[in-house]
Amino acid sequence: MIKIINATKIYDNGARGVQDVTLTIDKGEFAFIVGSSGSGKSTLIKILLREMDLTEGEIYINGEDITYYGKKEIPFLRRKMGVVFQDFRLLPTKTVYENVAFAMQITDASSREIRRNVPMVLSMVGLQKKSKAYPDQLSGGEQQRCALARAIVNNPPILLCDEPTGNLDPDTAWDIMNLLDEINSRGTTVVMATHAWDLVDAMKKRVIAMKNGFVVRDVEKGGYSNENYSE
Amino acid sequence: MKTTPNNRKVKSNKASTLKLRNLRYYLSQTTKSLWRNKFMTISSIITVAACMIMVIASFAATSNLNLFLDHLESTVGMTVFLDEDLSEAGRDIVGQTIMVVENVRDIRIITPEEALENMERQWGMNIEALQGDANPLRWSYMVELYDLSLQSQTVDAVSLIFGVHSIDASADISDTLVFINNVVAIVGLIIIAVLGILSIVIITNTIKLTVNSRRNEIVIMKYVGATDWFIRWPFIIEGVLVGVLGALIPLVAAWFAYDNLVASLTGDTGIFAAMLRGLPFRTTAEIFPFVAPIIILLGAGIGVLGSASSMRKHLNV
Repeated sequence: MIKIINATKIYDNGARGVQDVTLTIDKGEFAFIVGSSGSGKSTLIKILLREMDLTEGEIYINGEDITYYGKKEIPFLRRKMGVVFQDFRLLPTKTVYENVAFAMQITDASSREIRRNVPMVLSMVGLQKKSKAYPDQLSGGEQQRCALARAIVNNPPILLCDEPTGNLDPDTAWDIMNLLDEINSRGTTVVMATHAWDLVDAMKKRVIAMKNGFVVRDVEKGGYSNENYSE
Repeated sequence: MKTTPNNRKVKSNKASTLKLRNLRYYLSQTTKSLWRNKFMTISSIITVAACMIMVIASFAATSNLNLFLDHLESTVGMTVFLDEDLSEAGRDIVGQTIMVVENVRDIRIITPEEALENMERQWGMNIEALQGDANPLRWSYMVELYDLSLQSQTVDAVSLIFGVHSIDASADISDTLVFINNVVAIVGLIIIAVLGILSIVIITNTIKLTVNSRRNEIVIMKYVGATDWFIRWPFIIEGVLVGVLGALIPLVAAWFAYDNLVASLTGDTGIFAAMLRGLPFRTTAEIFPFVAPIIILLGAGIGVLGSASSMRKHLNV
């Protein structure tokens, strides 16, 4: 599903985002990427989204080499990957329904498909009663649910999450975590960069730990830290 | 480094095509954006309209000035004096020969009596003593030219005709008129170009403000997989609407006001009445069917350029 081979990203100022990272994340897997700030978690998400070019290495999604994708191909790549951010990134002038429908509109979905899928996914994240609300009328947890609904409405095979619980209180963070787990159980590959050690420890999923851009630990059903790796 | 394999799947290689299904979305986005930024929209329409009214005014002024100058040029022409001993048949032959000279539009024969009357009228005195056989003036032809700038060549050609005594052609006047005509055309073009560029700058800045206020929105659209053209179209439509509305308003106003303006300029009470009376003016039907599509296209083009240039840097996400 996701294959990264010897990926290195050096920024213009010389800072190293990721260094010689080699990873394979299989279809339907749930993988946490953990590490301190500046460890390379977000860079990894960004190179998967093709927000930036790699300095060296290769990336494959579903067997397809996306390393050199150009401006015309990147939008179509991103439609195969739902994405959720710490700051929700909802369109403030659109309602919950419109925010989710928008992700379908850009894929040329018919209005019939939109009318069918959007309520379904809003119901899945528990926002069916808030469909007419604007983002500023929602709590943080509700905004993140809306962002999640937008990320999965096109049924992407991969869901990338960059600190999705970073702005949420512990209870709300657990709600979002459970939703992600449910999405994963339906077959979607979930890659989640996070600082939330309690969630990582409790979920018992694959943990990829990063430090200074390197992958320093990669364990199945791991915890946020162990004796070989400390934050 | 490994090269990209050839099996990339690109779903659409015509992302710039305006898809009918999306048109409704684009139009609704444009309408919402125009409404949300209504004061900015109105002010940019007014500013474009102000530029366009000046473009229309300079076009109408240039066009009329050219007409005046053509009119003046046709009255300048030249006078061809004939030999004294030429018979009536000889005068006719000279006339026919002048008519076949290149650049000659029309000729009119002036009898010595007529020439004397003209002289009396011009100088405002009665020269009775010179009438009849005492009239010293010659038979002549008043010659109108197509192109005053070619006057000297025409004079050379006519002077070779047998029976022509001399030619009176004021090179100074013709040169001045041709010069003024050229200056008016160039100045008109410069004014239109400057105002066009000014309009582009204004629309660009207006749309830049809208684009800046929606920068986050554009970034989010890019993250969820919107193509650049999907993001661009509503802004382009917005620019075109502002440009076309900014062009239409002054166009319609000028269309209806033009005849009244000409009438008030040349009417008895008009301030330039004395100066302008007798000069030909272009009619509404002569100016506007020609200028309207140009102004509307100019407005639309300015809108497209303005929106495209203000969006460019925001699409690199």
